[in-house]
Amino acid sequence: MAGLLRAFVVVSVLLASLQARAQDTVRIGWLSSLTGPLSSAAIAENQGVLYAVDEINKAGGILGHKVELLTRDTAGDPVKALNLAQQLVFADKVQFVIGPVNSGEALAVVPALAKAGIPDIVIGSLDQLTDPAKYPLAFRTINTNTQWIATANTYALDVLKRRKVAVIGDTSGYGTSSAKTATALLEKAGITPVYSVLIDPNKTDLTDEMNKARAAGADVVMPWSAATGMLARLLNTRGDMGWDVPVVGHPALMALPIKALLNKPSYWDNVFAAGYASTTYVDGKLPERTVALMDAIKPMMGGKIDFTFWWVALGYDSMKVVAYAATKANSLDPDKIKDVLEHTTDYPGVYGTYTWTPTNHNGFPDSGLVMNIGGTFKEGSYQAAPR
Amino acid sequence: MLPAIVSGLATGAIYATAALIYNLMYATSRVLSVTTGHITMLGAVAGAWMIFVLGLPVPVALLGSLAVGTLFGVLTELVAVRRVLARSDEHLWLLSTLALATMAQQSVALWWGTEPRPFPRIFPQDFADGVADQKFWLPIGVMVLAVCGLELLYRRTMWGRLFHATSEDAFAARARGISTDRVRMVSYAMSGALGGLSGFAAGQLTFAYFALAFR
Repeated sequence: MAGLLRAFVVVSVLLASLQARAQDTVRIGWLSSLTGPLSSAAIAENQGVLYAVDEINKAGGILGHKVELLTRDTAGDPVKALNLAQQLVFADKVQFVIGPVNSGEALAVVPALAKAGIPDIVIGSLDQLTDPAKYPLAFRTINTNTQWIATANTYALDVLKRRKVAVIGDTSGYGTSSAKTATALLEKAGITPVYSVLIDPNKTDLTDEMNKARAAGADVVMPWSAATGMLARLLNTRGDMGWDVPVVGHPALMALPIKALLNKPSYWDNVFAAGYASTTYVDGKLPERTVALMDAIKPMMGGKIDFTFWWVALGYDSMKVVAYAATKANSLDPDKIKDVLEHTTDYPGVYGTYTWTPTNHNGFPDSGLVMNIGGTFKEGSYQAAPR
Repeated sequence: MLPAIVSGLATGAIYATAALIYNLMYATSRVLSVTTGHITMLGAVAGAWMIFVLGLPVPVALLGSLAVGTLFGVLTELVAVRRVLARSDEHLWLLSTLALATMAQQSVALWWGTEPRPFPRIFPQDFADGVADQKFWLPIGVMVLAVCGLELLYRRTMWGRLFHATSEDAFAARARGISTDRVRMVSYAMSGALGGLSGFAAGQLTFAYFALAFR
């Protein structure tokens, strides 16, 4: 009996000391699809998050407490993401969550975090992931999907002066929703697409769809998919057909993995995609803040940047926004954090300059989006498309 | 119209070859192995790796893909089928083959990456050849070859008859002195080789992609 009592006392003391140590840190959950089919962006964003944590801790942490990052690999699976989010909130007692990376996962996680009352930095682009009434503690750092689509539509209609649009989405939740939004925005501008189709992102050949788009008289093809395999097949089919129609659409059109999949390098010509002012060369130069982060982070990446750098900048900014909000609120109280973020104007990040209001939790400005030219990848950034 | 037909035939041929692989394994084991698509994936990835990374000539890489497929077929039989069939009549092989398939896929994802990577041209040919492109005809050719080869095997060889005997009544086959374990192992090895060949032939259409198996 005495032994049991002694063991109980020892365990209680240990638990108390563990709790005390836990309170010495600010615990931030990071839901990232580091493995699985959606890992490319997450791996790059993770570099930015890790660097920001290191930088924050070297500067003394948040409110005098070190940041403790609890990274959880969702593998791109919404069910896993939701389970891990609940584990972070209820078992690990995190004070913030960043992510998940993909919109499909975030659709499951954001409502759960709202219910638990945990501030969440949203880095999925689907529009419905923020809603100040339904998810009062969810603030987005990435642009919305509508911003991407509107930027690309404006370029196709106003700069390239095209009117006969073929809208191609993939059959994923993201592709379907994006194609629908793209069509709605085009119709708002008085343009009815001459051809619309949803394609399985793993379909091995797009000859049929591209022939139909050409037969329908399309003078611009606008794909909305993040599947690099499908986008490469689309460009290969266009090239093999000898059809020099411009392709304007999702940022993944410019992603480096596409390069190796193209039958000929010239198949990347006449391709334009929504990109960012922060990672676009103007007169051969990138913005100062981007260059500074690149220089600082490059050694961690083996001295070269061989993936899209805005992912890194987004991860970096998302963590810095957490530190900014907590420091300015001088508290980790969710309501005070919310109040600070809702009254933030022009917070200068690397990826963008953010403004959140009580009625708009999408912080990324329209002015941060530009159009880039496909095939101009250099150190994670791109050339601006001609205006 | 013609491009759509040829493209459809090529995609159909990949599925048809997968069905033959299923059948070859099922005939001797009564197991619907979930690893079938993964053998094809391994064939494509191994071929691309040997040509692009190791710089091996195409014929050597083809043999390499066949070897990788064969090894994985044998591994499936040894790890996920034989031990399960020896212990239970229930459909536990569904779990064991799924587990092996998942391990194979995730291992390839970690090693090879999660983005699709290119597969080389097998023969020199211009990309603008349309329906004559090798990417369509290679999988169709392999499918025809597999159908004819298996038909010959089943009808004209002793091994084919052993497959039939094991398939129709394994107990009776054993009673007649047939080593059904060995027959099953050979059928899994052959399935693996066919999967490796199919993945290699279809690589230009599918790319070398870790998630190919679940298409």
